[in-house]
Amino acid sequence: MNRFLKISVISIVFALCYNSLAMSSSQAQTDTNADKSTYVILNKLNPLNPVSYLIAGEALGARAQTEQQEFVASQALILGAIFAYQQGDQSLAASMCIAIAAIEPDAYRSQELWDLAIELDPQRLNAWREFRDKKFNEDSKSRQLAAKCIAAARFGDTKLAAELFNQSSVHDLIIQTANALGLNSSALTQTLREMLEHPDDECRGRVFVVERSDGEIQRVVCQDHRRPLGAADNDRVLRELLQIELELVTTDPRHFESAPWSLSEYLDATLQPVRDPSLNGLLSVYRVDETMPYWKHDKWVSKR
Amino acid sequence: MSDQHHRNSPIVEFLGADAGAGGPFALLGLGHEIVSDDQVIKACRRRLNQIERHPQRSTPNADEVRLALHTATSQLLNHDLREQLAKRWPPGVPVSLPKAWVPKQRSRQLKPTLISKARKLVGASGGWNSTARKRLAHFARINRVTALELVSALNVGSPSNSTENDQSPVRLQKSHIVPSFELIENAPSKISSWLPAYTILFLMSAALISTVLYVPQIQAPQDEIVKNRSAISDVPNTVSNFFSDPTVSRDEFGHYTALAHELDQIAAKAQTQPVESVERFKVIFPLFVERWILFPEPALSRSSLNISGFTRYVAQSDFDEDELVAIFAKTPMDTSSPQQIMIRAAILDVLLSEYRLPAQLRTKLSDARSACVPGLAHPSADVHTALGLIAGLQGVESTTDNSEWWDDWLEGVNAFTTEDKLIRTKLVLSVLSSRIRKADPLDSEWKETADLLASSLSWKSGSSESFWLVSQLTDESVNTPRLSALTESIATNSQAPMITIQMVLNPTATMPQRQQLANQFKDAWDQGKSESETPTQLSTLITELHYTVSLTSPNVVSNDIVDSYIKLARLNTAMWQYEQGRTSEVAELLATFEQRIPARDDPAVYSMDMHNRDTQWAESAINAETPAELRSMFAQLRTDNGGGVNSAHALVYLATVHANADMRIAARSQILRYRDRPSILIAVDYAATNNRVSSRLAQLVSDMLGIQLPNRTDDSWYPSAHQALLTRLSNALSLTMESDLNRIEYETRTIYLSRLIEQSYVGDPLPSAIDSARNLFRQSMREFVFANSNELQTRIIELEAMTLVRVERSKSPIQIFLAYQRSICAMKALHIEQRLPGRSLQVQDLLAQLETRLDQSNTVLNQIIQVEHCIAKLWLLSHQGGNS
Repeated sequence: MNRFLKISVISIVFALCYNSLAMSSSQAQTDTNADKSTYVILNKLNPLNPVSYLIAGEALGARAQTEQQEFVASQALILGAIFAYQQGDQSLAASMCIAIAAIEPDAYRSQELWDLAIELDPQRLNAWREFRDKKFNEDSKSRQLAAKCIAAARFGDTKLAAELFNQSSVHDLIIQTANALGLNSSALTQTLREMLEHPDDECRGRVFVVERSDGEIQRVVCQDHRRPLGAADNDRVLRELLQIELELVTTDPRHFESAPWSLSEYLDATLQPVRDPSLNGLLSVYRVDETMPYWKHDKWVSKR
Repeated sequence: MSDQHHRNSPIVEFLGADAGAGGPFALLGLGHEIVSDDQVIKACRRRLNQIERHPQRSTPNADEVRLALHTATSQLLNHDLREQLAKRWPPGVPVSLPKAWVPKQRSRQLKPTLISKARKLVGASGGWNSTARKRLAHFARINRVTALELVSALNVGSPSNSTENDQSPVRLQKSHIVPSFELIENAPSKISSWLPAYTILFLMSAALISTVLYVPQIQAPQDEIVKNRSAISDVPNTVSNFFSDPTVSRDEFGHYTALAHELDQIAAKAQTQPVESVERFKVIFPLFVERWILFPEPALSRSSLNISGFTRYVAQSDFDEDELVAIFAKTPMDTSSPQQIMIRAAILDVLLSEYRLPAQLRTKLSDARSACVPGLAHPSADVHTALGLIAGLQGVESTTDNSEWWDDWLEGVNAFTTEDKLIRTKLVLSVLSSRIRKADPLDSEWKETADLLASSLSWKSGSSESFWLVSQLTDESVNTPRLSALTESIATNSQAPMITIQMVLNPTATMPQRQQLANQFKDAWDQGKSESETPTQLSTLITELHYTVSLTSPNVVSNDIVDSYIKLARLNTAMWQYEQGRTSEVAELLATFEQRIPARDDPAVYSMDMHNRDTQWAESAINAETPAELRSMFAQLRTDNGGGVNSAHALVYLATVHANADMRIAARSQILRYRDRPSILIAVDYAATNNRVSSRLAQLVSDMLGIQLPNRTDDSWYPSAHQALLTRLSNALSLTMESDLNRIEYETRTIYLSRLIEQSYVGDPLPSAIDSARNLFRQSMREFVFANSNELQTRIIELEAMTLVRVERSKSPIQIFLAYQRSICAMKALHIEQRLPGRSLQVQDLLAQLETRLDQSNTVLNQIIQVEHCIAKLWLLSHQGGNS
């Protein structure tokens, strides 16, 4: 009896394990099939007919369920935009850019794509006014939180800053903003982490404390902060934090018009030249090559 | 073509159809029977007089006809040659008789009354003299009788031969009519009055002929190509075969007119005798290729059209196309001679412009053209245009420094640019631009070539080459050693005395040294120009703009950035003011445009560090018990220029939280006093971020910023206040930079404001540079508000859209300014295209160059300079050739 029981238990366990394995592999197979069927729309791409890229890219973008699928859709649209431009159809190229802007999760890149669309087809100005900052504004809550995170870090409220920084939307937005401003996002992230590494510091963001015994107010001189609260650890870090914070809270660039020109050099010591958006620039961003315009075996290839 | 050719022949045009019958006899209007050399000379003189009476007597065609007359004269003066020529060429129609003296076929009736009147005329003139002859000729004309008849009638009717009452008409016999020149020349009574005049004329013509005949020749002994362009020097030796057997040897064509005439004949006969014409062309064309540089420009044009006409007629017959093409492609020629390649390719370009050629022939000619000079053909009906393009391509694509090659090339260029030296200058400068950018080492070959090319230009003040040299000195892509050799050649060979041997570039010079030398050249040329002439305001402005543009390289070195920008911007403003007629402002700017702007202010100093003085003050202030005690501490704040961040935190704490109102007021006063200090801004921002927004805090922030904020209970109060405080903080911290940008901005305010037509800001604080740039852009747009071209309106809409996008993308004030500045430049370009449609391509070229320079720029400040540079070049373009 005991032996029978043991054999039964073992068999049941074995069967359960086998079933779970079978189910997971079946699911994986289903996913792969779904993936393949999603990309099948890219089989009819033709560089001589850029509209094929618009149709395929928009359709793929609409049904995309993963970031990878969205990215592939963007790649198809960028290729289509290049071919349309080369064939003299700037309006079609502009349409492709707008389609990518709709898919693109990065608000700054979405703005750049809209700007490029206007460069290609200035007649779409009204649409540009309406939609250029839409994604940017949709992120306003995240932007406020990201700005609050930076301010908290700067003012020594490490607990609040850490809480906010650990939210992925805030974290990603800070990195996106740093990249858009041409800052080294990795270095900046490292700096922020160092600033937030002291959750138990004495001041915890306070400037003055009242001494309980005699009511005297004292300045909290905290050894963790080499400079007064709000001034960051050094001038470079202060400048970068201000740059990001300003970018996150600013809704209208015209506030720069009354600023001294030295602000340009303060925010960017190298006075980086201005570059208009360009299709060729986006090729490297989306990692496509116009000599490989066909989608085959889950990658872009040069021959159908 | 041949009839038209004859109709258009200069000989026919000037001397009449009979002179164009062919040969020296017809040309001079002489029969084959010539009794004396005088006859020939006089005939030549008469023809020359005919040309002098023609309205186009001063044209090159008239000179050519005169030359032909002298040639024919010298031929007929040679008795042996005259006999041979008489066998070949028809006699001419004598033109010595004035029309009034030409005998008529039918006799006329002369009434005795007419004769009597004529006799009285002779008597009234004092006898048979020149006056009497003139009067008789006029009398005969008005009475519609011939003068000869009248004179004969007077002789017949003399007292010895007739009675006065004889009323019968007199009939003249033709045999009684004598040649007019005998009648005139042999008038016995007053021949002495004509003799001195004729003697003088004869001596002059003899002197002219002998001068032309015996001009010394300068020629290499082995050189088969005749370099001397004199009219008749070789005629006695070569012209004996000129009109004879077609198989004449190549050495016989010593003068271009002979070849030109041959081509005339070939074109004339191509339609009726294609085979013979082709055979003749095979002989003549290689000679033409060898000696085309001797042709004056009109003759070269005509010859190229003759070749084109010949080709078209032959192609229309059934002639073998390959044989025809072979003449152009395969006839032996010196393949190392660029001038021969030049003309061959140019002739092919002229042929390819002929739309009536069969398609197959066109293809073969096109292939021949590509084989001659690599690259696409540029069909052109004008051989000079074709030569210009080909010479330019040859010059730029050449890889040799061989001076003999360049000498040959330059000779070809000189040949077709005698009328237009500007093209010659452009060609030579494009060659020099190419050669001094080569990485080839500096050697004696390049030095010789540099000497040759440099000496072909004047390098005078205000010339294109002077501006070009200045721009090359500041261009980093130019090879310094090769440029050094060129400057040495210029210093040695130029016609500009102000350029001295001290202005030779060192082969190892650095860019700053090259820049310095460029300024030296500019100063030397400026001095030369002021000494030579009194320039107008516009010419001075244009010259200064030229030099300043030339001195601006694609990436201006940082030391010169401020000066380069200010100079360019001021000169551009002067051009704007000149267009608006504000000449006094222009004069002021011209006098001051090179002045440096004031040095930058010392940067502000704000300490952000933690130090005891600041901490102690903060603790003392925050623990002060009375307002008086607090106020006594403010002196230290003044000493410390507002205090540190801790002090600021203390002030904000006191101003917002302290129970004593007087304490709050005292603290508040200090906060407002030092409102622009970073320490105060940080402290206020901290209070707004971390504390509940009390009414005191909200009022303090509002008073500090001087702006209206939302209600403090509104959720939007904090974001608005925080943004404004951050902006102020960034602005304040930016003043701690050692930056030239603020003084550039201040100067730009004045510069751009001065460009506006309506300047309503006199006496007020100046608007910012961005405001002025925006207003200038709008002003430019208003000039097109009534434009009714759809294309123009579309372009303006596009520009407006791009401006909006660029402003929206801007991340700093200087980027906003750049956005408007680029749009101002684009509007300027549009304006020029509308005003001067012929400059449209050049405008587009300049805009394309601007885009390239903007891409190459390494800072936004350099981009601003490049936009001003483009605006300056647009001004220069709009004033090119004196157009305003």
